[in-house]
Amino acid sequence: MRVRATSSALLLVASLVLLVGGCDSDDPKQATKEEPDQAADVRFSGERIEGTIFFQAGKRDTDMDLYRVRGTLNNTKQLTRGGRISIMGGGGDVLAAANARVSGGDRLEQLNPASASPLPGRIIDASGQAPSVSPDGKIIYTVQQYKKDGGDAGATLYVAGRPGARRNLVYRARPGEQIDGTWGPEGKPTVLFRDKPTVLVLEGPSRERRLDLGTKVFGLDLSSQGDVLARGDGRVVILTREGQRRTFKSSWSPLAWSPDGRTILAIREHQLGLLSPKDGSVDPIGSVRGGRVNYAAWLANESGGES
Amino acid sequence: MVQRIGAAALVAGVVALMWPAAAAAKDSDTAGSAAVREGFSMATTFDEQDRPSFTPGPATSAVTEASGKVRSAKVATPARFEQNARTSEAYNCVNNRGRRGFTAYPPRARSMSTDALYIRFVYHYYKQNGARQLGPRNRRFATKQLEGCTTGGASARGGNKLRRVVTGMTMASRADRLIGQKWGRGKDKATAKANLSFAVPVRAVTITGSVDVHPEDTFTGSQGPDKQAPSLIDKYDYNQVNAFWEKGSPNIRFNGSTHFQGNVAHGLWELPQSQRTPAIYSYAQSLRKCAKIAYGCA
Repeated sequence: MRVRATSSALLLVASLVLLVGGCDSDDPKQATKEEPDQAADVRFSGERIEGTIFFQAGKRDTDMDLYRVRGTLNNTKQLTRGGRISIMGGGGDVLAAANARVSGGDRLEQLNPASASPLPGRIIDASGQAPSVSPDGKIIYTVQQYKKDGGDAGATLYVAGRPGARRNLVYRARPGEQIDGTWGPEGKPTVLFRDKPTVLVLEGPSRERRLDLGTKVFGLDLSSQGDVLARGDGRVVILTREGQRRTFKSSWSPLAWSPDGRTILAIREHQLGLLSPKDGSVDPIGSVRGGRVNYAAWLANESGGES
Repeated sequence: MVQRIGAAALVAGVVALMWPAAAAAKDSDTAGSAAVREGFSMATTFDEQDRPSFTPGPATSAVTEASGKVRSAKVATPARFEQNARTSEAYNCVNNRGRRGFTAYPPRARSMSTDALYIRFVYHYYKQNGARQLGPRNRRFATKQLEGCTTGGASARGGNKLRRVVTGMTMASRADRLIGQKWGRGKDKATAKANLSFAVPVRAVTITGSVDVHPEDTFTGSQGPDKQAPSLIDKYDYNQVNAFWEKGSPNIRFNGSTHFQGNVAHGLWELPQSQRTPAIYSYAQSLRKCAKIAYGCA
């Protein structure tokens, strides 16, 4: 009996010591520290970053997983295993992904960035593909259309607002045209054509403007400050909200704007870096091993609390 | 013409690989520890528009030792090939909806019937265009997905007992294309059943395959090579799906079944939309053994 009482007292003392010693902050959210995922398929390492970065990474394009970085790149958490995330994007406090894990084909879902297991998320469109998210959280995505015989009838572009809002058709491509939707100057929905250098800014119903960026554009991203980042073949073009254009030759591929719009997360083979939108210089911050990164979303920390 | 030569070469390949070099088998050779392995194969090729052509391989029969060594082999009674197989409740692969972008190809059935064995399998193939958009921004591409669903089985007669029935499929691609597989599994079930949610962008099409089997012993499946699969199929084992029924130890003479036994298998393969769809090879095999001591078997 005495032994049991002594053990209980020791356990209580040890628990108190652990509890007191384990708290770095009064903030209960800060008390929960994320452990680095030692068994992760793709391994990240590097410096501290502000906010929360979500990476879509893996060995094969068909089987990409979701990773989350909060704090330093050494503290990367693999959120899915055997995932089938096709394409993901983020902006504001919204994270969206075309996920094929359950349905086999792409299904557009809005994920909870604060959740420890964000997939499956809330379905935005059961046929939605290739999402891109604006800084104010609107999602533009494609839906493939088919002929009666199963052939290609062109893709359509939709914009979905806040959860529950109706989706709006903003563009209808011709059969055979391969298009992607994104966000361009002044937050306008913008169409990229995969097989031609045309960028079409959708100004309003039946009003379109061609945007010439002097290079074939693979991707366009709008920052929270209103600046537009265009990725070309070996080039990065910044179109400021004042209308200035800066073009840099770069071997780095931009991934995502920082939440404050001051820097750009970029990748070059296994290296991660921060690309300056002012002069195109890159400050290396870490590395990726065991796979590749196709997409990233960099969200502010307010949306990244653990649930 | 090139396609025809390719198909002929394919059939020749299937024959060569399913027919080990040895003298013609006699069913009376099944005395003692030997067993007879019988079955057929089929190659499904696709043109640029993904229209399928079906090339049936010959039915083969081989007498094998308990060790698995082939004692003799022959081309068996010609197997039937049903161009537009009518699928009854007993051989079912059913998609729960028809929609745009989704193609259900007419099913094909193969069967053979001798005094010693009846075996029949039905092969269903489906395709979904534009299932996913993949890749980084500078090389995005659409994918298409092919699903194969096969159901069927075999029964032994004339004093023979069935030991194993297996069916399988693989996509003849150098790349790992298999993204989903399922098979009926369990023990003591009257229906081997498996369903796989197929990749359809709007709503999942669920294809349910089922076959009625007598409730005894184990039916399950595997991904990868199978001991009874022709080597041409095993060459693409990373894309291969097998489903089988089997009865306990093969070394006990009277072990086996005289009832209809089989299984159902699903394979789902994904590849770039712009790429020509590689051939899908399929096969079915049974293993039977004579259970009579006197007079021999059929």
